[in-house]
Amino acid sequence: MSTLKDEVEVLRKIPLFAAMDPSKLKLLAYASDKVEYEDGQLLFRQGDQGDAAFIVLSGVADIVSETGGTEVVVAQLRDHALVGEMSVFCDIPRSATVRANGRLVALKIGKGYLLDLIKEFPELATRIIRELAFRLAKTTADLAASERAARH
Amino acid sequence: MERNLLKFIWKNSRLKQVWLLFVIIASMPFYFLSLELPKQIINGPIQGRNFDAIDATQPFLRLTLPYGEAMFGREIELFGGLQLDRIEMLFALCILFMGFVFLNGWFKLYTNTYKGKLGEEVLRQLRYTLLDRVLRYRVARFRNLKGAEVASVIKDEVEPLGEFVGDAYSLPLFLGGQAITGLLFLFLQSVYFGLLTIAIVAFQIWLIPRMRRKLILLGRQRQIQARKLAGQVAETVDMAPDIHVNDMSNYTRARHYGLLQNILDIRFELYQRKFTVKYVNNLLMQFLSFLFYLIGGYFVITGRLDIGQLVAVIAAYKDLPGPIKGLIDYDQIRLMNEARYEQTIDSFRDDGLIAPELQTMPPQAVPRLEKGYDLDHVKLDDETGRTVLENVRLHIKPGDRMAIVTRGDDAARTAASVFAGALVRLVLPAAGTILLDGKAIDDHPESLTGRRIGYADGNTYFPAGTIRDNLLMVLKNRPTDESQRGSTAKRPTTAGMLNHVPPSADSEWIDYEDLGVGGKAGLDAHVARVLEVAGLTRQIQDLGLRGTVDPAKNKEFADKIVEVRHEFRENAASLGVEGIVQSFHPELYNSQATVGENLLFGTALDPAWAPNELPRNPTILAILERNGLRSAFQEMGQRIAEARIELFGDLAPDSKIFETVADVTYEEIVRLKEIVGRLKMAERQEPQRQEAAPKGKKGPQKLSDRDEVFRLAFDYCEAQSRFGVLDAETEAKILAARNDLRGEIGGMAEAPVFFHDPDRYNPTASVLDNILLGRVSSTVVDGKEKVLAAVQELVARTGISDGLLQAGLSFEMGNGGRRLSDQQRQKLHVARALLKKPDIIVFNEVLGAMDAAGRREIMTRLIDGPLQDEPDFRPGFVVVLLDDDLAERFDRVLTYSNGGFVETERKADEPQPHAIADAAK
Repeated sequence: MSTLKDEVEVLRKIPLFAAMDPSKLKLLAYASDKVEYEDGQLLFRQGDQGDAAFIVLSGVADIVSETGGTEVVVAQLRDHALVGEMSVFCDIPRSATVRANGRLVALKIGKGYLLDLIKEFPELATRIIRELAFRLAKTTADLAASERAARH
Repeated sequence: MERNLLKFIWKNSRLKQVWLLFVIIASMPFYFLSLELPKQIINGPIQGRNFDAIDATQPFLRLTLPYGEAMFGREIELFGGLQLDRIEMLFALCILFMGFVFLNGWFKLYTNTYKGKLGEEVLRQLRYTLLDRVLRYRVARFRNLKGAEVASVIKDEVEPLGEFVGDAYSLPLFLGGQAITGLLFLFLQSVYFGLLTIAIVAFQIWLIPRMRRKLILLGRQRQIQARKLAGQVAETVDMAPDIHVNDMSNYTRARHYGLLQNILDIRFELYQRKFTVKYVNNLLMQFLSFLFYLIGGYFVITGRLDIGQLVAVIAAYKDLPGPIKGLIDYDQIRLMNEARYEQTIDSFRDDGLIAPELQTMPPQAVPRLEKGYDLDHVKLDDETGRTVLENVRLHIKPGDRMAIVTRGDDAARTAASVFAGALVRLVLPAAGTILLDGKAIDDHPESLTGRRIGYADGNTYFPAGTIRDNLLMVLKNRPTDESQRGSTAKRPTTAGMLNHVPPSADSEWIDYEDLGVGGKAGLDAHVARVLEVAGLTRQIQDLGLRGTVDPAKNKEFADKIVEVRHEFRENAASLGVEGIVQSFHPELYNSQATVGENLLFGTALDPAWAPNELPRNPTILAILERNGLRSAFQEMGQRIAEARIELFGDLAPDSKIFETVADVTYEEIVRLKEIVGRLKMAERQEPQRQEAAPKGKKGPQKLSDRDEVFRLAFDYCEAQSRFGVLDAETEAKILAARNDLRGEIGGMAEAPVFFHDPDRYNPTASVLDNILLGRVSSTVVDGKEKVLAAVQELVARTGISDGLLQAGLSFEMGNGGRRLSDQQRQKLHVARALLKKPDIIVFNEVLGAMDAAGRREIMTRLIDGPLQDEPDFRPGFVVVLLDDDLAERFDRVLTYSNGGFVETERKADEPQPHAIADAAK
């Protein structure tokens, strides 16, 4: 049985929360649920309403895009990755399905609480923005690469 | 019904009234003797009259024949008596006196008890008669009847009549006798004074009723207002949600207050007049004394009357005011009660009562319907008196399956609904005839229509009771025990005075044979099938899972549940719930449960052992002390408090955390801060002192700060809070304490706790908790849902579904059945219509609360084959449809058009979905 202290240690290792005050991390650990998934279990499904964001603590999560009945694994997330934050911020349905690939332990942070947290810690907001910007850059690069590949 | 109260009482209790009178008269001589004896004791042995010689004796209990001297010229001695000396005489007379005291007391006891019983019996008869009337009212009348007002009449208004019954005849005769004797004495003393008295009394008799007229009127008004109050209060309770939603509470208060003020005004005037009458009464009686003294005194002084005579007159008069006052009081009570009774009877008028013959229990089984309905030129009005259907001519055979299609049109729906009501006598035709099996439906006894025709509409009302009670109620038409049936049958009553003693409600009322189910087990199976058709099986089983079962009554089921529990544990993996439920194991600490739960390891049978009470339960405290846990818990509580303050202490009062994740409120955190602060300060000031509670400010029942902190440990669950304050060593100690506690409680005569035991059924826990016997882990996603699904799968597999259904049927439906949803209640109504296996079932827009798809599924199942396992049951249907497209499943279809029905006859093998539309053209 891990205590809050252990969980805080885990959270501290996540770059997103590295700068946060330990007592606030403790609250975050307390407020979020540690959830365990078996292989193949869904964290959420594409099109669902988003009520929580997840941080992968251990294991691998597949990001699956479902279009016209076919499933394509578009990305894989590993340790300390933030996932599911988009529909929490923007109130849009889940843009993809996230599925556990093997045993997965994640931290589930409720929507209301995540927004509260960001309001209280601008530092966290900056980090999330940076993370999102990195992702956008990567997506842009990937898109350019695939366009190039298609042209050839 | 008798219009006059005295006549009603006489009719229902004449023999007893005569007996009562007899007993009262018989008691009189003893009463007078007991008054006479003290005089004899004083005059005889004490003062020593006739005991002049030292050993003189006197006869005791000497008896002579009354009037013997007059008849025979000499005294005839029947019994010479015992010769007793003075002391012996004293003893004998005193013992005799005591004997009379006992005897008088006994007479008083007997007559009072008898009067009370008599009153209650007549009251029972009156209430029964009124209830009988309510049951014989036509349904239409209930639209204008307030339940609470009727209840108030039957319960409260007639109550004072009961007290009156015992006195109704005996008291006036008794008092009248006394008054006449008194008057007679007076006449014997002086004719003039006698005449004077009669004149005054006559004036009283003339005056008082005149003064009382208004009193009676007021009494009636008071009764009506009190009745109105009962109705208004009930309405307020019924519309409580509306009152809150629309901010009507102040208006409602004002309305109630207005009525209360009215009642006060009436009562005040009533008191004024009542006491005025009393005042005039007393005045007149005293005026008589005044006359006696004045006139008598004048005569004595002027020498026309000697003083001895006047004293005798006044002595004779002394006995008169008592009885006369009593008589006048009696008359007042009688009048008020007469008025009350008439008022009661008036509100239960005879008009339009169903003849009692229609409700008698038939001696033989009720025949099946053969010809069905014949409607000829029937005209039906709705509740507002508007004609909705005219000239309906229709024949419905018992096996016909007929749909009425309304297409959602208001006029059509009203017409169809009134029509359906008319088929079961809820509505009487304004013109034309409705024949059932060749006889006007109104002339059929309810035993026939009630058992051979099933009816359900959108109604959702159910009386409080279990689901089973409410379901089986419709089968209880007649006790199966022959001896219970006829009106000659008597159940053990305290006094068999009722004209018709109804059979006992506790005898067996369900006729298995008539229902064709062959016994209790058959009935259970029948109920199960009916519920399946009505789509209720699963929901009732779920109720069963959440309900409790008494293993003493249902040992087999409880044993089975324990088996299922083992199966659930062993097959957790194959059920897909491995690791979700952490089972209660006597030797292991359950990390998903709180510290208190782990310590007690069971459920409380005694409130003193409930989770909240544990921290101050002396036995628990002693055991904690013994196992070295008292201080450990104290420290744990301290650390929990500190951890909570650290976590939540800085949050704003409106922070979302408090709403969503924290297991404490902002206020509790503030309080915790204060407590911890105080404790710290106390420690700094007096480090040696253990008891840190601030004295003086708080009452003794308030917990000290240390106790508050100590308490926290009991509700702590490491798996949920993860503060890291519970280590393996403490867990081991708690396990030891648990064993210790078990030993301690094992020594008690009556165990206050039921311990978790893998092999025993826990009667205080729900069936579901009994199957799980553990805690669902909080970290597993959707753990609860998964576990529930697994349990349901297991239930179906292990064949306890019947038992669960039975457990679910024992669910208390609550006031008006409101613990079930509207949907479930409507399904129950459908199930009830089906349960009695009628020949024709009338469904009037049933299951309106359901979604269309679910309703269609149930309706299809109903129509296509109501009860699959009972093939001989092929009822006819008259269904007012909510889903028009179901019409194709019926043989006959009626459509509403211009104040009448148009029929399309269809062959079953020729589906014509458009036929209805065609017919309407």
